[in-house]
Amino acid sequence: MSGEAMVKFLLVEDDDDHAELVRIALQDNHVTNAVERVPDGREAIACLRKEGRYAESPRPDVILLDLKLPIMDGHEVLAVLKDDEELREIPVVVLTTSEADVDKTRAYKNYVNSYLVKPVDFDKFHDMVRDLKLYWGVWNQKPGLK
Amino acid sequence: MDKVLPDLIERIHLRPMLDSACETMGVSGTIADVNGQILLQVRWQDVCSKFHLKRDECALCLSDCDEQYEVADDATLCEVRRCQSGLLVAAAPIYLSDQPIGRVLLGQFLSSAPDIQAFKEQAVVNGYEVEPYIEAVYKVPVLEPERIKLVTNFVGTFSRMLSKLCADRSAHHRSDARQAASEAKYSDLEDSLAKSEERFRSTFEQAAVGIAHISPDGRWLRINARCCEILGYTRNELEQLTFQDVTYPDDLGADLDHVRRLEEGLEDHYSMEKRYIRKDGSVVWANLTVSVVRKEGGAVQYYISVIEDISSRRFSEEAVRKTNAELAGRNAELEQFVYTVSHDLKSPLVTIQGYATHIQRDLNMGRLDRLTLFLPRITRATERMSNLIEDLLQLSRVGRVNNDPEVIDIAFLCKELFGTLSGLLVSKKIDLQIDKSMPEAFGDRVRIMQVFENLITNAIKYGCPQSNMKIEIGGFVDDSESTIFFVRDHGPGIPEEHQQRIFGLFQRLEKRGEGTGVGLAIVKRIVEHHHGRVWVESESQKGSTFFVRLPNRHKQMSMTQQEQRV
Repeated sequence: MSGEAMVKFLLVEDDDDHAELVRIALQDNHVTNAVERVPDGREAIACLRKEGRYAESPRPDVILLDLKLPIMDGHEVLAVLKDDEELREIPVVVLTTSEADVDKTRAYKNYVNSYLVKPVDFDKFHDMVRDLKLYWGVWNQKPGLK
Repeated sequence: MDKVLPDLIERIHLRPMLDSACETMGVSGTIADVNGQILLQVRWQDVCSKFHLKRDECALCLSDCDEQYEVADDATLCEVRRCQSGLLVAAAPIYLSDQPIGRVLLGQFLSSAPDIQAFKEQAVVNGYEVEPYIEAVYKVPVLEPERIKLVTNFVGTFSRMLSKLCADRSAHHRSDARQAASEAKYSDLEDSLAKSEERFRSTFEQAAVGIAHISPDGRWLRINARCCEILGYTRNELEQLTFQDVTYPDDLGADLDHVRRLEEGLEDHYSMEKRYIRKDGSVVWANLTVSVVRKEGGAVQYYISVIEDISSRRFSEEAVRKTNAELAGRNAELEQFVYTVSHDLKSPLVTIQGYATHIQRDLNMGRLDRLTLFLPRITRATERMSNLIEDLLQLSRVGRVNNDPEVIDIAFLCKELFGTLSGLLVSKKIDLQIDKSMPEAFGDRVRIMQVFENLITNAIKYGCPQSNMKIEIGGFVDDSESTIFFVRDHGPGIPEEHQQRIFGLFQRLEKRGEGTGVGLAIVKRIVEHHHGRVWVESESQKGSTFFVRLPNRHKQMSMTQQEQRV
């Protein structure tokens, strides 16, 4: 199962509690040290471009992106990422509490790879994180890997 | 009727004709009216003009000629009589409608040599100088009976002719009268035409709509008062302009298109709603209807424009449009609001549910070590949710729940707030400086208090990252209409790109948990509800100053009244 552990997530989440819940759920699914978390959109961009204190940050395999973020919201981050030659290949999964159609439409127009709504029911939340790990860690193939 | 004969004599120039007739026959001629008034006399003998006529009784030979000499003809009724002075005269009446209106008299002749002795006696009796008188008597022609016959014939024919002419003349007079009547009728017609023109003029002038005649090249030819009123120009000023000059530029193209179609005969009239620019520069909306008056050949003589001022309708339509746009804006805001609220309210629920589930599982496994970690998260999430609900309720009350406006002592109000905020202020050891001399404000006291509470809370939370920092509150009169208040911190400042955004609903510059993102939206809404404005000036690392500009009492009242009128 070493291949599973290899998937590296970047969690863009301003809510400490939610970030912690995702981390716990991943932990429960045996993903431990492969999660980096940033609290807002600007930090996310800086991290992906390895700016400042993120110089040593590894390139993530999947970005988990909240939409409601201070300073630079998830939609703006998505637009910047998909416009960036270097970064647009990284799959972006929106992970939000918003079920609004305007958000879904706008995210898809910005080439989001997947749109997930955080379930209030924690069991479902837990299952969703497990499936995320399974999908992106096991089933999904990315180029450059033999 | 009594004018007919003199008129006739005057008109047909009888004198030369009678004169030559008398010359030929060697007699004198006279035409007199029925009263004996002489209308025409030719070739009178000296004996009559110099002597007999001086005698009153001989002034008119016919009245004196009672001795009938000869009745010439029944048909002509011409008779020859001897006058008192012993001379002969042929006379015939002139009739009109069977009434005698005058006589033709040819006379002053004798039928045999004069009886000189009798004439001498007559001269003595009448007091004439005998010798000249007798001399004159010798000049009196003596006519042969044949010649007398000619004279009577002439007189008969001539009088008949005159009667006939008089009848014609009279008929002519009647037709003249008829003509006069028809002339009178014509003048009546002219009169009624003038009246109708007057009616038209007053209709044109006093019409409640603007009416104008416009030349083919657009000049104002004739303008009524209402038209001048609508356009704000005097008649003289308009006459120097064209309709193109006073048409709102955006509407000119469509108008000229119509005019072209009228000119080419493709339309016989058109109506459009257009704008004019009044003399004072203001815009007036009008409903324009234009028809055309053509010359005989079909070319345009002038256009008739009827201009109706529909500004009030258009402006109320405009107001409705504006209100609709505002409503659409509000709806969009509401949609954003509902969706954000659902998101922001759901977020703590995810937290609560998540950690509660974890605690449940931990408890099931007899694991207690994470309890102290998870329980405060649940508490924080419920607090956040409660704050958010409270803020949203406050926001929804702005403009919905109003208290009567009053004069507010802002310095005093801030001191009152000190109580609510003392926990935060004391823990951070913040120096809160309130300018006691700041002016008063006017408004809804409860709402204005919310404004300052939010601004001071923000200043404490975001403007005082360390202890022992300073917050200043003050105010000053801006102009005659408003007062400006401010809350100043000396914190990190707000980057320019975020200075607008922070007043939006659910906009946060800090990560979740620090605030609800509603506070400044409440401030903005309250201030705007007071017809004021809120803004921030900030410099990195030097702090931020939030300004609130509130119109004074008088201004607010007038703006509210205006709003209510709309």
